[in-house]
Amino acid sequence: MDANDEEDRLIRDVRDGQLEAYEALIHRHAARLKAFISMRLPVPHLVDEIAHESFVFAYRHLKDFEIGTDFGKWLRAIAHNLVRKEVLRYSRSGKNQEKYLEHCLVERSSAAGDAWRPESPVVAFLEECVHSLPEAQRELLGERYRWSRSTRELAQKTGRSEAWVRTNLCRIRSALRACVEGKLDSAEEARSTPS
Amino acid sequence: MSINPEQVDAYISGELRDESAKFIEGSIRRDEALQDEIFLQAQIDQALRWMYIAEDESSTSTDGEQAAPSAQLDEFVAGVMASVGTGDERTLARSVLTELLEEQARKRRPTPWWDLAKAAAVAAVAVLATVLALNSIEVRDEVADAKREAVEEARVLARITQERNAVWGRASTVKRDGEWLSSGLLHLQTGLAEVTFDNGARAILEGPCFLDIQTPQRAFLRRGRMTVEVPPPAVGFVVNTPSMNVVDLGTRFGMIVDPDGTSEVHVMEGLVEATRSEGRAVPLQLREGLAVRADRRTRSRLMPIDYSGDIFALRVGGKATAPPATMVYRFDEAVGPILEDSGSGFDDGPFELSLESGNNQGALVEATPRRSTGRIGSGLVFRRGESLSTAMPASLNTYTGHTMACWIKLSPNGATDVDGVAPTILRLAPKSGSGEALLPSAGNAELAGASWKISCNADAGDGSLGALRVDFGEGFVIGTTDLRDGRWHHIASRFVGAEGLVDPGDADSTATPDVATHVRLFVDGDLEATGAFRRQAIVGPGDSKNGEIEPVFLGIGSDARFEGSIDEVIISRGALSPMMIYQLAREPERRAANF
Repeated sequence: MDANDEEDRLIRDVRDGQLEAYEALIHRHAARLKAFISMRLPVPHLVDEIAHESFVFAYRHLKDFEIGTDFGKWLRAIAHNLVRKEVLRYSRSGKNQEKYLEHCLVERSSAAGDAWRPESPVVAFLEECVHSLPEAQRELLGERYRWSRSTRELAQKTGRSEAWVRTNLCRIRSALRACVEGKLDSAEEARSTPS
Repeated sequence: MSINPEQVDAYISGELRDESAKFIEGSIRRDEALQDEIFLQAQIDQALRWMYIAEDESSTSTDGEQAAPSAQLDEFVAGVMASVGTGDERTLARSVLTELLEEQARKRRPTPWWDLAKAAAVAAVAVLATVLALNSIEVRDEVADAKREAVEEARVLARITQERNAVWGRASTVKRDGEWLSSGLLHLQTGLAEVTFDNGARAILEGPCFLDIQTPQRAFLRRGRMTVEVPPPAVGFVVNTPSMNVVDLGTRFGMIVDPDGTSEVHVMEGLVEATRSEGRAVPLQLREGLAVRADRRTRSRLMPIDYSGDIFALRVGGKATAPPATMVYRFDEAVGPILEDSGSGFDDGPFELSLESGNNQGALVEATPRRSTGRIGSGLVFRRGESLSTAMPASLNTYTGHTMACWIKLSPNGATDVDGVAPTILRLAPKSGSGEALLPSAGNAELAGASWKISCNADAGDGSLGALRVDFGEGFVIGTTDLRDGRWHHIASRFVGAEGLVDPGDADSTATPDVATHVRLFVDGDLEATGAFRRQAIVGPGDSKNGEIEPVFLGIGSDARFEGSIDEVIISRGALSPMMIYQLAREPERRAANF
């Protein structure tokens, strides 16, 4: 049984009332869904909240999901709408402006609007872009994001200064963002070009 | 001055100090391009975190192996980090499933009234015969349930121990008997008030504040600000709010509930466990100096916020309750028949006991106990037929609030081996010759001469065998802990008093002080659960049939058959605080300071 068949079976089980099957679905999709939400609204606690809401919403509307199609894409579409709703709600609340970084990120998210279609596989593109990086940069990213190394630890590990580590991480992220944008543009172009 | 990439990375990763972060924020506010850069960096930064977790999970689930760590990373660290990565997903799954289960439970609960009415009409004829057959049983059960419910509602749970400029609001529904509180809503409009729960937890309310008192271990803060201090006997005390549940693990903390239900907890000392009351119900343990908020408008996890424990009141500063007058018998005298009363506060005291038999303090005592090793220093050991008695303060009546406490050691069968009658450990008896004048409430002439009596329950039909039992008239309260294990136990019975009585003739009124609702038991310093009770109204000073208590008996029952050891007897006018009782049991070295 391949992964898609397994997923369809899980969805049928959930529809039959087996809540534990939904737990398996959450495990399968949570991290990628959060990565997707982060690209739209990079505020950690809001990412958690929207992921939670997305799974709850999906469960309530599971009867509307067409088995055989991409469940991950469906989840992203739900999350996309919830992000819009959250940004709107958040910007109305003065109380949330206590933390400027958070406030700034929500504002920019609002200004960015729907920069790309919800079904765009931005996380898959990001993965491809990471894999296309030079080995040394991939290692630096892995140490930071997979193993949660602090800047000081990374500096000790690489034998460089903390300033070097920070500057490099910043540049790699910029390069990745440009790479993802490029892939999104290509995909959009391919989609709009009649075959 | 422009912001360089190094500073951008430090800012979004949260590794900057406050002043540096503020400097960068100042630049960001003026620079739209910089805002874009920050957003772009944060986007990729957050997405990468999740992407790596997703990659690890995919590799684990597809080929059963962990993603290969870098060469320098040892296996142990790899395992730990991998479990951290997946832990968050487990948390998310748990919170989602919790919400779904709650939702399903809510859907099952309510049934529309019209459906009920329709079902009732269809079923009425069919069930009529059955109902008639079972009617007597059902009615009896309903009555029992209703009575138990009424007792639960009227049971004293807490006490207002201090006030300063307190103005109580009309929204209060709590039943008050003087400073004593039963269940219900306490509305403090302005000022400060300290409420001490029966398990020892203290809450300082700052008006305006709405607090539901629910049990001695639980309160619901609807709105307002409150400081809670939880001493050891009250660990596990729970404060619920519309959006948060907080379980105390031994500490002091402050809580704020906004009008919309948004709640904050700030931990000043120790440890608490906080959970959202709905949505992401994942418990979070908070230590001193930490604070979280549960925002009512969202269903997200608890949000960390800046700690501001210094805004909460730690003291009321009002007039504290005066220390109660006490009789204290330590039995530590080395020689002679006189057992001293080292208590204070009674105008006509002290009240000595004598180990000489005969007409002892106005009561006939045929045989007296001997000295032996006590729980602290010396104590007394009683054999069958032995007892002691003393005169009592004139200001102590059967309706007066009081506390009786002592250490006891019983043999495994010594307390309950005869006829279901419990040998008395301690008894506040009616004044000799005035029995008929004592305590018969309307329709209860048989209660004439009723006394307060502490024993271990010997009647399995009434409650748990060997558990602490307090009798008054026909009423009783029985705890749950079997004390017959050959070890020392500290026992205490506290009656809050009937001085504030408003309706002495109505035995069924929940406002009437009652054995079942106004007596609390404590074992080894902890509030004892009430295992069984029988109601008995206690009439107050307005009733002409009241009288003085005299004498107090130790070790005497109807035939003086108590066997065991007694030490450190304390009888107070007025209720001792739960903390004082706890200290008597657990911190005996502090007894000198308190008594």
